[in-house]
Amino acid sequence: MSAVALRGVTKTLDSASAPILDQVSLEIADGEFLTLLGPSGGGKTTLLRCVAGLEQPTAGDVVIGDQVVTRSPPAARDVAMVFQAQALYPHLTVRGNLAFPLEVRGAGRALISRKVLALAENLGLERMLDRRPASLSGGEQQRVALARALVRDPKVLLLDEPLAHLDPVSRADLAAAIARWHTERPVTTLHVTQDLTEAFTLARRVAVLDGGRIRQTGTPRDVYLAPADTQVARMMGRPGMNVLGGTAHHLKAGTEVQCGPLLIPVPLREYEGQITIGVRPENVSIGPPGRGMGDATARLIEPSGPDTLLHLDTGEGVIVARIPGFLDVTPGTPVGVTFDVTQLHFFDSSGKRLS
Amino acid sequence: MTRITLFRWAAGCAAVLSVASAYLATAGSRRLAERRYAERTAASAAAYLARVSTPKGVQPVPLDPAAFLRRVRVLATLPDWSPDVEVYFGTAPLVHATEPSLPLSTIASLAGQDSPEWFSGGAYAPIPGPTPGRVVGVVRVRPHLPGDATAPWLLGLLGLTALLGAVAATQLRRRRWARWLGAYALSALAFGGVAASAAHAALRTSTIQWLQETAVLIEDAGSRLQHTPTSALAETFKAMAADGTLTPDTSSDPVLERALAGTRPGSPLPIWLGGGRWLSLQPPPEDWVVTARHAVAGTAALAGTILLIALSWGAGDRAHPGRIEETLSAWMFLAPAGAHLAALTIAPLGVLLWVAMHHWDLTTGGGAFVGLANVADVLSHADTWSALGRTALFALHAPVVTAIALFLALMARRAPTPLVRVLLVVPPFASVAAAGLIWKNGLAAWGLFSDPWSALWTLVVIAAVLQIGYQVPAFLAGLDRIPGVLWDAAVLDGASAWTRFRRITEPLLRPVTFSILLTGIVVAVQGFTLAFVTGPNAPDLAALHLYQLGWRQGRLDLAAALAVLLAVGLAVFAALQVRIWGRGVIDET
Repeated sequence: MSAVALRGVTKTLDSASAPILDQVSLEIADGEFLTLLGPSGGGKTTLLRCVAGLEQPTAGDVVIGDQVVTRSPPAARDVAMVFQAQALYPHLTVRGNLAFPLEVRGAGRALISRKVLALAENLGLERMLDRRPASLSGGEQQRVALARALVRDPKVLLLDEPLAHLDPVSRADLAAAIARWHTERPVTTLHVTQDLTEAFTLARRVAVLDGGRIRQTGTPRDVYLAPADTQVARMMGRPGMNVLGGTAHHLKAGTEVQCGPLLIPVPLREYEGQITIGVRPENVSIGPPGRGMGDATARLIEPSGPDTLLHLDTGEGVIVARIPGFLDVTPGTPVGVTFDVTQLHFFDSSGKRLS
Repeated sequence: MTRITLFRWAAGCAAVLSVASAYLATAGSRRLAERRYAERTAASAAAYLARVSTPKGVQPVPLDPAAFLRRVRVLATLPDWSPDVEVYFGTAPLVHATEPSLPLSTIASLAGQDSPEWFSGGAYAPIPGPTPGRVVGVVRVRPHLPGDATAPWLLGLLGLTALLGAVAATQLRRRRWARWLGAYALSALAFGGVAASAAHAALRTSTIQWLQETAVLIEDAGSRLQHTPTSALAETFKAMAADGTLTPDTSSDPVLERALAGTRPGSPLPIWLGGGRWLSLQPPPEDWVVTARHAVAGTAALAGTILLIALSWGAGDRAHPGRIEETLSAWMFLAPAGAHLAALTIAPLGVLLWVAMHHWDLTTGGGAFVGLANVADVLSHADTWSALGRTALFALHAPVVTAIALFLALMARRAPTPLVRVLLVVPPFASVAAAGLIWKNGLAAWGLFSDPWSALWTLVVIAAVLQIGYQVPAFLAGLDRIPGVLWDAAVLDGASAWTRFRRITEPLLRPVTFSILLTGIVVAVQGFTLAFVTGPNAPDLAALHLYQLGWRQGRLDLAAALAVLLAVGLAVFAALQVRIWGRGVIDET
């Protein structure tokens, strides 16, 4: 049994400033792979360090298996961690790095050698066993770091943005290696990232952490399709969802929302007053001025090949649209804006999702 | 032949040529010195014989054959006058009866000459007869200078340098090039030094020897003219001074001058003629200009190194554009620092080596080349060994202090306030001398400086306090360079504090520890100021001993030899350190 539970974990540096972690409660089932997603400065790494025991929470408890380990030293918790970068012992060879956790725990020479070899084979490190970390690529280094974390079969594996500093190819390789390992030998894993793709590649379940609070937990699909609040909505997608404040009016034909110059008919029944609309860039389309829900001025045009990101200035804010292919629009020209009304998300004035 | 092979051949030729030209310059200097000596001595001896073999007061002088014969016998047996001389009366040898007689052609060619001529291995000076253009006799002097102490050194280093130069040339732009170039450069430096010394010594000896011997002649001639004033004597004996000048002596202390003249180049030699009359024999000033020829030998020896470096550079990648500009600008940036280094470090080091290999007294200045005799001398004194032993004992504090500093640095990192760091750094702001005096005056009352042994241990404590102040910040900086995540990783891996230190901190800190420890030991071995300000009970540490040798006993040569010994010892020690302990350091950095 090595499920992990956080119960009201709070971490404050001093009473004057806002808490880094604010009453965080989270359950990770035995063998589950949970990704903690959030912007930088959101408290993700602090949470991870509290689980590892490298930091003490100000309040709340950390439970691993059926033991409360809040006051236990890191070594007693049997957790392993893969850090962002630079965490390999530079003076030891890859073999030395892999053997280190076993050596300090007093494992026998034969056992160490067997385990290191087996793991190296599994993760494709056989040929670099006698090299120093400095002579490895970033991807290889992180692979070794992963191997070092796994070598002693920890109860819990903590991944602190392990892919953050890698080039796209190594990133995909390492993500695949992590995913494969977890399928073969499910170890309870808490993975932290600010990268949506990284989170969705690896996670079965995602927890969104922002401002020291858990905003939403669920499968990647749930979180993406139904963000719990505007903060989460802004985080989902690249670029994130457009969030526009407006006023809803209930009319005979249906409800209409006035957002600056845009008048948006919405499939809501009987809603009056302040409302926030979320729309993904891919659900925004453009047409000639005057033919749409309202007009806006094209500002910044970012072609990326398959599609083009178009920044539209409504006069009250900027909407990003993702238009397929290349665009023949010059900055400064007015365009008509249309939203796909079937794909809209609605939030109340405090930012909570309306069901 | 490929381009690089061509460069290697050129480099080999340059190295060998440089060595050969240095040797030739030295040999040329010696040849020149011998010839100059022989010519002058012949001229002086001829003038002497002409002067003393004529009846008094007769002008112009008719030569008296009987007096001449007598005088030749006297000349050959004059004490302190030892040239390899032969005097011919007409063509007949007078000194060695078995010598072949002088060819008439030689006499004929000397007729009408007033300066000596050089024929087959000897200088021939005519002794003029009563009528102008007539030669009554000839003085022949064969070059004969004291043996050259540098000769075996010169030949040994010649071979070694040429060999190393050839090997270095074959290694041009190969992997071990720098190592062989370094060995060659060192050898060339030593060879250049010895060659320069040999050239210098030969030319100097030739002048001094001639001065001394001519003084004997002038004294002997002067003893016959008891009542002639010095100005008249200077004029009468002018010919005996050859190309030097003879003047009445005006120095304040001619006796001292006379005593020093043999050891100091360039100074005139006072000659005592009895009755308070002194003449001063001055060698021609160009002697000391010519003596500068030793620089030619030294430069020639060093030119090979420069040529090899230039060739290596020239053999480099031609495809790289702007290489000349880059190299030039690099050297321009390096020039100020290089000049500083050359003027304040390398040049004094060169002088030190020079002094260590010559006889050098504080009062008399530089003397003859003695090779390693100074080193042997200084090593034969029991004082030296006790000073070295005490220095070793004193230097033992360095490792202990380094360990303490490391411990303090580890503690200071955990300290809640930066004040701790500040306090640890304060001591080195005090000057060593000031600290020594403060400690001494403060602690003298406790009897801590009452004898050399307790003073030694007290100095160890003072040095430790001063050293710790330097070392703790260095360790702190080194610790800050280790990514904290490594300790986190080790903590998670289950490593105890001691294991983390032993397996992570210590190996990663080793470059810092290594340099701190080495510096600490070097500073301890060089430790002078503390011992110096301690006063009469100062422990006789090597640096202080060296100072006393040089400035109290006036033996700068022995002091320099001891300094060289210390430097070599430290270098060997450092090399061993790197070998044994620092391998990881080199890998990491």
